[in-house]
Amino acid sequence: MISRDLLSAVLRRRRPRDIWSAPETAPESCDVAVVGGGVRALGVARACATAGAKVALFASGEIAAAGDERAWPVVRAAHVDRLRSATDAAAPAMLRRVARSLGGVPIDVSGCLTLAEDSEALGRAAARIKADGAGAWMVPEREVVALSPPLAGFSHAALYEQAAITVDADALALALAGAAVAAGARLFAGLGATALERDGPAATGLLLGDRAVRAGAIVLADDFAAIRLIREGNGRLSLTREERVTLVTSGGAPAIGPALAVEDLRISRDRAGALSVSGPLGADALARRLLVLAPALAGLTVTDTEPVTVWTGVDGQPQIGAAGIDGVWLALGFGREALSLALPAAEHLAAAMSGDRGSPAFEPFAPTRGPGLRLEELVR
Amino acid sequence: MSGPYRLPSSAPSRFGSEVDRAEPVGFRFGGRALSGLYGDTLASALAASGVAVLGSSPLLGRPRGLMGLGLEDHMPLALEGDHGPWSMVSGDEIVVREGLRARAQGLGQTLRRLAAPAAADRRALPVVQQMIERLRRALPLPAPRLPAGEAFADARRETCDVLIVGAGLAGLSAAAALRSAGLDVRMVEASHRPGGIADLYDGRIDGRPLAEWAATRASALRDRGVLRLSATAIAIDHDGSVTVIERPEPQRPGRVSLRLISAGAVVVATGFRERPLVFADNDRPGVTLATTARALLRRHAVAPGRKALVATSSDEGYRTAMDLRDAGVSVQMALDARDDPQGSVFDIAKALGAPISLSTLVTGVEYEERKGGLTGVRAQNRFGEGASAGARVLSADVLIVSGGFAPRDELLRGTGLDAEHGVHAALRGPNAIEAVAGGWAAGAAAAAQLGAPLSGAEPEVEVMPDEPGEIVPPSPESFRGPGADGAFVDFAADVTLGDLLRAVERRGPAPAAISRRLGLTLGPDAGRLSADLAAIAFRALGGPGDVAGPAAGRPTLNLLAARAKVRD
Repeated sequence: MISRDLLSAVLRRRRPRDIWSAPETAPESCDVAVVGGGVRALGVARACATAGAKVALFASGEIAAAGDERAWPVVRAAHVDRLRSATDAAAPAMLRRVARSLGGVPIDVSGCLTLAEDSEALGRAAARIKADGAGAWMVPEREVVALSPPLAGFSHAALYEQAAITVDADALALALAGAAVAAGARLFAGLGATALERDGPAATGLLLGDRAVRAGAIVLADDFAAIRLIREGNGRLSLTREERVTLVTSGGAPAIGPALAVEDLRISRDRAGALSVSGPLGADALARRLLVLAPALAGLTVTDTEPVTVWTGVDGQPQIGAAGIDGVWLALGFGREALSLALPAAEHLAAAMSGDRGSPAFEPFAPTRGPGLRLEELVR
Repeated sequence: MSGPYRLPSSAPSRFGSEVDRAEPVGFRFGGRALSGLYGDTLASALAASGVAVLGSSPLLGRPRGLMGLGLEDHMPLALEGDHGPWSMVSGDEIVVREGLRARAQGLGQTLRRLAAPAAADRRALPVVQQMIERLRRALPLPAPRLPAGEAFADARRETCDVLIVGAGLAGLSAAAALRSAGLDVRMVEASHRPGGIADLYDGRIDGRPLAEWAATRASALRDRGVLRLSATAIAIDHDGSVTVIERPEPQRPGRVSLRLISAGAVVVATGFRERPLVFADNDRPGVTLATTARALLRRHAVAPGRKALVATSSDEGYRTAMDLRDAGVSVQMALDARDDPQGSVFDIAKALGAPISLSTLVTGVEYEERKGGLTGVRAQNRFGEGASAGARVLSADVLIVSGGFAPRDELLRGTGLDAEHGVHAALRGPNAIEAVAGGWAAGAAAAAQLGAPLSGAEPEVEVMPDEPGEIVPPSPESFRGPGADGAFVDFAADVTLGDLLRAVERRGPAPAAISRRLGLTLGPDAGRLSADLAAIAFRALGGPGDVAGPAAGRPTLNLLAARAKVRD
């Protein structure tokens, strides 16, 4: 009983900051208006606010980790895709730095195992990743089972990245929100942007229902909201959607070792031992595929089934940077590996918006670039 | 007599309708030899023997006892030698037989119990578990001990004209309507006992007592293979097919099979569940729902205690109070949260001379850890402050609570389909009149949808009508009071008012994120015992939207995979 009283006393002392603003108090103008409520949007809000801008963030729903960010809460440096490999290279280190400075974000250096039927292509990618010094290498099939015992049914070599991180996406979102507010940003949940306010070719603000907010720059960091806003503004966004589903199991699941990326399945395990399994639409078929791969998981109870929409740029690459409309910036189409890119993209955007060049690794992702140009870059 | 809490045989004969006093049965619970009567369930036999504590809660390690029965039981038990996630069932679903051996929760929960209360924002991870996880990850090779992969579950696909979910009064009434229209009807009932809680009420349908009417109908339907017992519908898909988990062997509840039933129309007659009350230490053994206490009395002649106190905000509390008095249990007082209750049930209770205190809330209970029982109940008036609130401690060893009824609508909410898509709800109200009328109407609507005219007449019901119970939400002060950390809004998941308050302060207007963080509804009862308490408390805190509500049942990966196979 004493320990409980003590605990509640400690909890009382750690009163949370008042970080949520009431919708009625939305400002009439700000430097940067961020649309979205996930880790991506919060990362941008924090980066811009830290850089000294007056930031307001508007989320149509909750301010918390988005479905796709929770579906695969893994941050890794090595990427089979060459362009992503360049942008994500510093992601785990950046996340650890941010988590340390924010506090309260449980991170696990779990490692990540990428499995594919075509292990030769994977091997070629691994050679390149290894040459870049990303700390990832191929492991033979016997070692795959040693690393991840439930994967008894898989018999191919796999790419193993030791330093990949599994993070509590909700806690990360909360910590980023706290940091953004501490830096002067204001966060509005349940206040979705309904239209862009245009002045000729440039966007000058956001309409939020019957309210208008003038903004020096608008960052669209929520794919669905962005599509609606841009379409209504007669613009075009080149994003493709992929419908997926995430199964969450009860805690205490068998250890799976590192996080697993098996073809288009993504499997991670949180600290309470609950698995998140994400794959193409159809929860039943997903469970079946999972059990073929790892029969030992058969008895796990499914506590949640959540459909998730994953958006990717038409050429399979995200769109990060200044949009065709003046004053609008995009952080969209992050694809299945949404969380890896969130923090690096936020830093890049904040730098780019303050007139800096930002990170050159993001140049291929600039939305104004035609797909042809990007292809050229890829070839080069 | 079997057990100190069994009513003496001098008690009125209407108590103990299901047990045979002449036939004692011996069984073991957790290694302890106990005895019950033929017709007892494990829950009633344990209650009769005075086993008040059935185990401890998963996160906080608080002792817990019997509060609800069946689907709403948050302390499920298992038979020795039975394994798997579905092996834990309510003690009320296990019929006691000679030589039966049962146990409380498994080792995993005992391990977690060792952990200290988890801090607000790491609730999902008590200290011990955290250490185990850390160790697991630090080991050079993860220990290769894995649970044996279960074989794919037995799964089958079935079709019928109409599927009725629930064989209570509403379901049976719907079945009568649909069968009079000549349709091929199937019924599934999650409990091993059809009729719902009809036997807890006095009244008549078509001139026969409620329980008798229900039993006759149900046995006729069982004989024709229409009604399947111990079969829980857990989901209705967008195409209208219903996933049913069936326990074919009563001796081994953990062994389940899956049925995917495609029907032209579905009637959801899942009924209503009683809502517990929110006050400090509302989870203590000895705090019991009014319907649970009445079920033990009427079915098994088991008294919930020796000195009872009733706290209610609906007529249900008075019904149980009157039964308790008839059975010879002393009822200290009935505390009613309402200011001015009306209606025939209240009038009869008043006429019988029961001491009643209106506008009165329970603020806490006094519990003796060593004895494992209640000793007193703290109460005060809803209005007034300080001395005028009349705070007092009443002595009692059992507290009967009733916060009115909430619909078991999780199946309906989960599907999002309505009558236009062939899913008909028979959830009109908790009273027998509304149940029968609602069931008949839903059956008629389903028949009309399939173009079959009814030929029968609606059953005639004579019962005492209920006054709608008033929901008295927890007051804003109670969130900040010292009792908030002991007032549970989700019993099985160990979520208290205090947790909810801190989560709202910390996470802001984010009901889904808060539900995830607190693990709402993740207990063994999937949040069913707590009904909509968390949602009511969340709204009282000023939160927008809804936190997670109860689930009808949770499939395993194995069952999902089996369903995928049937779908092909």
